Amino acid sequence: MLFNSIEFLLFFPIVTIVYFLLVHKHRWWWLLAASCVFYMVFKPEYLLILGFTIVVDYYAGIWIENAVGKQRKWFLILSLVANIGVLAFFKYTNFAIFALAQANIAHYKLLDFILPIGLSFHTFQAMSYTIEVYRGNQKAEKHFGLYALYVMFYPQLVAGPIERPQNVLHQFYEKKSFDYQRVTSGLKLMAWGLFKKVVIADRLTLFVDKVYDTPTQYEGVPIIIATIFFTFQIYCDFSGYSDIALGSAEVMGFKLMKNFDRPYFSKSISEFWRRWHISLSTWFRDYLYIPLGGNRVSKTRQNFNQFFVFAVSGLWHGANWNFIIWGALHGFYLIFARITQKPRAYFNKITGLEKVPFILKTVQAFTTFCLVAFAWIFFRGNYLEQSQCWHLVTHLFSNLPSTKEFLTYNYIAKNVFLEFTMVEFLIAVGLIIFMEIIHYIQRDKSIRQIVSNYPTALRWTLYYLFIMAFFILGIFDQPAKFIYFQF
Amino acid sequence: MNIKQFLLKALLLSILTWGTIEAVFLFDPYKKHDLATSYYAIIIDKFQRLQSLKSPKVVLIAGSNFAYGINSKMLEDSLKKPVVNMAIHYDYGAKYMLKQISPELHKGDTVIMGFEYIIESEGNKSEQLLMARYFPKAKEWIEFDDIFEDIRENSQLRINTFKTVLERLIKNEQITYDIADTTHIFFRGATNQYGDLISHYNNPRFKEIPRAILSDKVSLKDAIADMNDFYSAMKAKGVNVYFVYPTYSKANYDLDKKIIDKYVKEYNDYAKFPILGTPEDFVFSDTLYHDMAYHLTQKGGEIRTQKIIQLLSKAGQ
Repeated sequence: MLFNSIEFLLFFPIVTIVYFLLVHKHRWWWLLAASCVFYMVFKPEYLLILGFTIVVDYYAGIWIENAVGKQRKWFLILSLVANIGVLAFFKYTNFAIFALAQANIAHYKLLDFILPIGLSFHTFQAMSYTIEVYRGNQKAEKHFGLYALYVMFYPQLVAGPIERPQNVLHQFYEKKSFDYQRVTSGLKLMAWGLFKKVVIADRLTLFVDKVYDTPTQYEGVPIIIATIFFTFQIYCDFSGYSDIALGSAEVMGFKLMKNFDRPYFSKSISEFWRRWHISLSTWFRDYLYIPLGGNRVSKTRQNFNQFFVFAVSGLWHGANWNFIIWGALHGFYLIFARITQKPRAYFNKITGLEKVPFILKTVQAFTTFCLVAFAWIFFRGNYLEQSQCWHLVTHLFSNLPSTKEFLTYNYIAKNVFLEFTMVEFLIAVGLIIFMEIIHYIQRDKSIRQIVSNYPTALRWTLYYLFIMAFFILGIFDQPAKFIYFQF
Repeated sequence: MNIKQFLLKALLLSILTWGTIEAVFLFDPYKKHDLATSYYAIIIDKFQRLQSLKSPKVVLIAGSNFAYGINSKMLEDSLKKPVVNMAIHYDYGAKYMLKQISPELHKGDTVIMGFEYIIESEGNKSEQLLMARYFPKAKEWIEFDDIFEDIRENSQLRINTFKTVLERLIKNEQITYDIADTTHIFFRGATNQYGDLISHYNNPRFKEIPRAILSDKVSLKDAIADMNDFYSAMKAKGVNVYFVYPTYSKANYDLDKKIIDKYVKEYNDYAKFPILGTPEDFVFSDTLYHDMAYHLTQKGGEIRTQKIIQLLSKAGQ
C-alpha cells in the first residue's frame, strides 16, 4: 500500500482507531494483521517469502541464545545465509546472469519475476536482529507474533527506517495510551512528509523526467537543472516517506529512528552520510565497516574498507552497475577528502577562509552539494542505457551559453524552465526554498512545537492553508510510487 | 483531551478543507460557460442525435480519427440511412464508447467501429468523469475497478476543478470559440449536424505530420474482447456491426508497419466481428492529414468515406 494512496487514507485511521480501542494484549495481532494487509496490497504471494525469513530468524535468535561456543556462530550463519540467500536470489540473480552474458562467459535465460517490495529493507532489519542477539545486545524474542511484528511493522516495512531490535522490540510490550499531543505531533509529521512527496517531489519529477527520459536530446544547462531538481526530488521522496513512517508510528506511540537530518546542509561527504538515510549508514557502519576493522586498521586498509562498504551500499540499492558506481563514487569522495585534508586546511589558512567561518562553511556546503548531486546522475540514470548515462555525465558542461544568450527568454524557457511555464518553474524553485527555510528553522526548535504553541485561531488558519496548499500545489494525476520502494 | 474530542476536531478540519473543494465543484462559476463551449459537452449534441434518429440508422464509433475524417453526409446519401458520428476521443476506451451506444441500437441499425491502434479497453477514467460532469448520463458508462478507484478519480476531478477555477479566476480570461476562427478545434459546436468535426476545415494544416506513438508492448486483446461482446449482443438484436481499420498517415505507417502488423494479427486471431478491408486501405498521403497521423483533412475525410462506402457495398450494405 502506498502512503500517498486513497487506500492508506482509509487504512490508517481504521487501524489506528481500532488499535486504541483494543486492550493492550490484543494490539499486537491487530498491528500484525494490518501490516500483512498493508504488504499484501502489493503482491500477496510475497508474504510467504517474508514469512520464511521471519520463521528462520525467529528460531535462529532462540537457538543462538541457547547455544554455546561455535554453535552460536553456526546459527548466526544460518540466519545470514537464509536472509542474504533470499535477497541474492530475488535481487541479484538476473544481474549475475546478465553480467555473465555480457562477459560472454555463460548465457542463461533471465528469470521472470518482480522483486518483492522493500526486500532489502526488511532483510537488513531481520539480520540486525540475529546479529544483535549473537552479540548479546538483545535477548531473543520468545513471542513469535511480536518478532513477526518487529519485521513487519507496517510504517517501516517497505522503505525503512531499518530498525534495530533494541529500539523497537521493547516498545511492543509497552502499553500505549491515546496522548493528544503525541498524536497531533505524529499527524503533523505525516502531513509534512506527504507534502514533501506529493507537492515537492512529484512536481520536481515532471522536470527531471523530461531530461532523463530522453537524455541525449540535452546538453549543459538542462542537465544541470534536472540533476539539481533530482537531488531535491529524491530527498523529498525518501525523507517524505520516512516522515510518514515515523509520524504514523508516533501516532500509535512508537518511536522509530530518525532517518534524515537536513543532509544538504552538510559540509563534507562524511557529514552527509551521517545525515542521509541514517538507518542504512549506521547499519553498514555497525555490521560491515567496524567488523572489517573500522578505523583501527592501517590507513590503506581503512581506505579500502570505506570504498568497499560504499560499493556494497550501492549494490544494496539495486542490482545495477549504476548503483555500484554511485556508491563507489561516494567511497572515492571520502578517501579523497581524507587524503587531501591537510592541503585543504593549508589552503583555507593561506587564503584566509578559515577566518571567515560563514563563507568557509558555505563553500564547503556548496561543494558537498555539488559532489552529491553529481553522484545522483548515476543513481537516477539506473534505467538508462550506459551510453545515455555517459552522455549525461560528459555533457554536463557542454554547449553552455554565452551570458548574452543565457539572458534571452527563449533560451531560459527552453533550457532552464525545460519548456514548462515560468510560473511552474518558479513554484518548483519556491517550494525547494520553502522546504529549506523550514529546515533552517528546525535547526534549533521543532516547527511542530512552534506551531503547537500558537493560539488556536492562528493554528487552525495555518492548518487550513497548509491543507489547501497541498491540494492546490500537489500532483495527483497518478499516485506516484516512492523511489526507494524498488529497493 | 480524549479520542472522541480529537476525532471531532479532525472531522471539522476535514469538512472545512474538503468542503471548500466540494463547494467550488458544486458552484463552479465557469460551469455554465463550459457547458456551452467545452469539447467534453459535445456528447450532449451527439447523444441527442443518436436518440432522435429512427432505425435503421448508421452509427459511427471510434476516437478522433472518425471525428476528424468522416463525411457523414456522403455516407448517408449513399446508404440512404441517417448517420450519426459519435466519435470524440480514443482515450475514452472501447468499453465506455460501446456502452454509450448499445442501448440506443435497434434491429436494422448498422454500427461501424473504427478504433485507433492505441485503443484501450478501460480508457481514461478522468476523461470519462469529465464528460459525466457535463452529461450526467455518462456516469452509467463508467466502470471503476473498485471503490478506491471510484473515490480516487472523483476526488481528483474535484481537486482539478478547484485548481482550474482558481487559475481562471487569477487569469480572468474568457476564451470564445467560433467555427469560423482558424485556431480552435475542440469545442462544443465544432461539429456539423451529423457529429463530424469540421472546425479544422479552415484552420491551417501542419506542414509536417508529427510522429505518432505506437508501442509493440501494447496488446489490443482486451479492447477486441469488448468489441466481441458488443458484436454478440448486437447480433442478437439484429444490429449489423462492422470494423474498419483507422486511418494512418503514410509516413507514419511506413515507420510503424511492424507494430501495426502485430495488431492486425491480433484482430485476425481474436476478432469475431467482420472486418472490412485492410489497414492499407486507409493509409493516405501525409498531405491529406491535418495535425497528426490519425486526423484527416476535409478532403482526406471524403476519400476515406468513399473507401468505407465501397467496402460496405461489398459487404452487402
